[in-house]
Amino acid sequence: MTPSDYCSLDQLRPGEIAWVTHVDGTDDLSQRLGDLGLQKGVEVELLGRAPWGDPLRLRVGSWRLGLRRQEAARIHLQKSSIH
Amino acid sequence: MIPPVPKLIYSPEKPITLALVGNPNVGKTTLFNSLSGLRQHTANYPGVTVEIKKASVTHRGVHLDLLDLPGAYSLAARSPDELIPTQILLGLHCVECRPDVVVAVVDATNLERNLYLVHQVLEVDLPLIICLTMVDMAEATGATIRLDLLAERMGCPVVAVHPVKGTGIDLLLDTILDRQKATRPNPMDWPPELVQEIEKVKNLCKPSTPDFMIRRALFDIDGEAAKDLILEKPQLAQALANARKSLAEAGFLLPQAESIKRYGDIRKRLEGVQDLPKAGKSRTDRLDAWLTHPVTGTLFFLLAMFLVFESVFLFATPVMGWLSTLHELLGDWILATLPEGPFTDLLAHGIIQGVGGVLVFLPQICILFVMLAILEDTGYMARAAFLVDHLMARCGLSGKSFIPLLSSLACAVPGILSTRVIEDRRDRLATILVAPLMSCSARLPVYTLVVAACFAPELGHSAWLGGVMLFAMYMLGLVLAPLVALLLKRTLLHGPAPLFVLELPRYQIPNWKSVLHKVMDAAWSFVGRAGSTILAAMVLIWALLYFPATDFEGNSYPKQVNLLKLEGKAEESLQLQAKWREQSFLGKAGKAMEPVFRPLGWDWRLSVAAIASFPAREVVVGTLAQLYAQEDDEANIVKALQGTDSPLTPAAGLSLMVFFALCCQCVSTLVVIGRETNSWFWPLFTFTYMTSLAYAGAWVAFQLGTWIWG
Repeated sequence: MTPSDYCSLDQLRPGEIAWVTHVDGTDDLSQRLGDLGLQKGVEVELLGRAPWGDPLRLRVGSWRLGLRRQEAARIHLQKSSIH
Repeated sequence: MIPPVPKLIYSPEKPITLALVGNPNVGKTTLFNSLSGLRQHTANYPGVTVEIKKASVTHRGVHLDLLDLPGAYSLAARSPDELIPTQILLGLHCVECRPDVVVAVVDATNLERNLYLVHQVLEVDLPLIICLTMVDMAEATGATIRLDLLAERMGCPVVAVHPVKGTGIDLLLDTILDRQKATRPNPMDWPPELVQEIEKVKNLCKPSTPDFMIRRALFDIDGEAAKDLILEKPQLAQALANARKSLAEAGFLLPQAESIKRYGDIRKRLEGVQDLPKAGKSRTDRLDAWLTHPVTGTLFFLLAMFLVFESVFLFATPVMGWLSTLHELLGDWILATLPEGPFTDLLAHGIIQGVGGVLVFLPQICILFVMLAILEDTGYMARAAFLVDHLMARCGLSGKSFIPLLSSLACAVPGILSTRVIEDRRDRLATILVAPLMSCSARLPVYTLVVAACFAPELGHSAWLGGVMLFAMYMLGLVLAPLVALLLKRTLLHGPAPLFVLELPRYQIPNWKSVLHKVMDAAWSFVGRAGSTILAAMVLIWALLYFPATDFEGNSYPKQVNLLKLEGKAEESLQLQAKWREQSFLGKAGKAMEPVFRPLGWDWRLSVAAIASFPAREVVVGTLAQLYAQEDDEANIVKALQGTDSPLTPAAGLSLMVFFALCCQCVSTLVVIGRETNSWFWPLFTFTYMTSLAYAGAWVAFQLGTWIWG
């Protein structure tokens, strides 16, 4: 496992799949992301980006989510499966 | 297995209150509509600021009161509105209206995330039924779900329902009757550390405080539940902070600890319940690759928006023609049948012409709402929000403001009400204040009238000019609203940027029943307004235009006009009628105001119409009818306005359209802004800024029009 194995969600390339390691912060946003199931071990895929590259179109498990880059930057990923 | 529960006998006097909960986009509203039926009367839940629909139904002789709670992913509450579902479920809002049973609507294609909310609802200590939707879609992807095992694991009945087809509805209702007093569902056991901390906090609270509220107060840092409890007992602020601190030391770091625990438990409960196929590219993903693409997606977006408005213009015209003929015949019949006098004139010219003239535009409103309902029900509305989010973010708003603003294209009133989905208060206020800038359906009558009178093909204009003009008027609001919002966010409503989380639901074929429901809702609310505010305004304007009905020598105008008509002197009769209008109270007021509006290219008649339309924009058409029309139908107004002596030159027409596109001549909108912001400052502010903007815009339009058409 190399350092390049880790990145934040906004650094993912389209079509790339990764797994959440943790979400930064203890505020409102981190709670909301947690409520939606964005937490350790969850599989995410960057499906695409909106015009001007923002927001991001993601697959989280079996559903699809639009998230801004700024917020995606707080979600940390690991590119090789934890499982 | 769940032990069988004996059948219960219900008294018809006490209805069973049933609350529907669920994530957004799971078919909850469709289920509510299927349960309540198209003809059922629905009302809003009294005394709360969020929209909660209520309906009553009877099943096997038992009365059921349905409550449609707002769609949410979690009961975590950051605003008073978000706490309302929790308060209703716990009976804190009103003890006697606490639901007897909760139906949780769950999307079968996304069990894990949907069960998160259900997992919280398990703890409110009410009988629960899980209503599984989209089972057919889950099966189409190759997934299998064992309903009996899910029921066992969650400790409550599970019923598969297809709200669109209506299958499973009876079974669901039977289950509600059978299981109303079923055993409580089994919530998760919280770790002992947490239970201990909850007990400590509980000792400080009022004895009646439910455990669930205390847990929410602890979990939602700076949340609404904590604020509520601290308001009662100020010492709780420190107690909650201490509890969080000792929990963090025990490895239970809030707020993430709640979701980690719950999702862990949900995954355990779901083991063996569902067999999921490997996640691959779905049909929705393949469509989204095109529809959210920066180039093809943007083109499709613009095309979709353009088609929506062209279809309103194209399809509504023939229907309007039939309605117009019908109402003309009715007016003629009244004038021919009833004895001559002010009352008959009021009926034929004031009431029939006023209300009829507004009802004529119902086809356009219906078609617009069909289009908006289709955009929403296909799932495209969320893509539109996704595509424009960055643009909206630059104006200080989010893609979420797009849907209320788009709804304001139909009517600002529901648009403003739908801003309740925007969590951030400043964002919401900015959206409310710019929503009336969007071209609502009530402006459409003004646009179509001016387009028909000034830019019709008969006048030598290209056939496509009408559509382009209409499109331009809509674009004016679409462009200016974000700019004004930006200005507001930079000045009056300055603050940090809020969050943006947008679910992109699966694409679906819209269901005609759901579309019909939305269209009927909109149409009835428009007719309701036409019946009250507009009718009152129209009668007042009729009176101001009718009186004084005698000239300087004391001769009665109506008598003289009729005499000339009987003599066959049509032209003289029309001229006298115009003179009569000019002498009326409203005519005099308009003439006095003429200098104010002259820079906009308007004569006194247009000025009168603009002033008279303060209660509601659509009134302008009726007023113009009374000022110009000899007979009360739109074709004649258009003909009169097309005439060579008409003040409505293309430049004046353009300036009139721009004025109406930007002004806030709508009492209902101002009242709703006042209610939603709970202040009289914001409606006054909205009226002032919009009227100034409208005047400036109309002036620019007149200069531009004069330069183009001379």
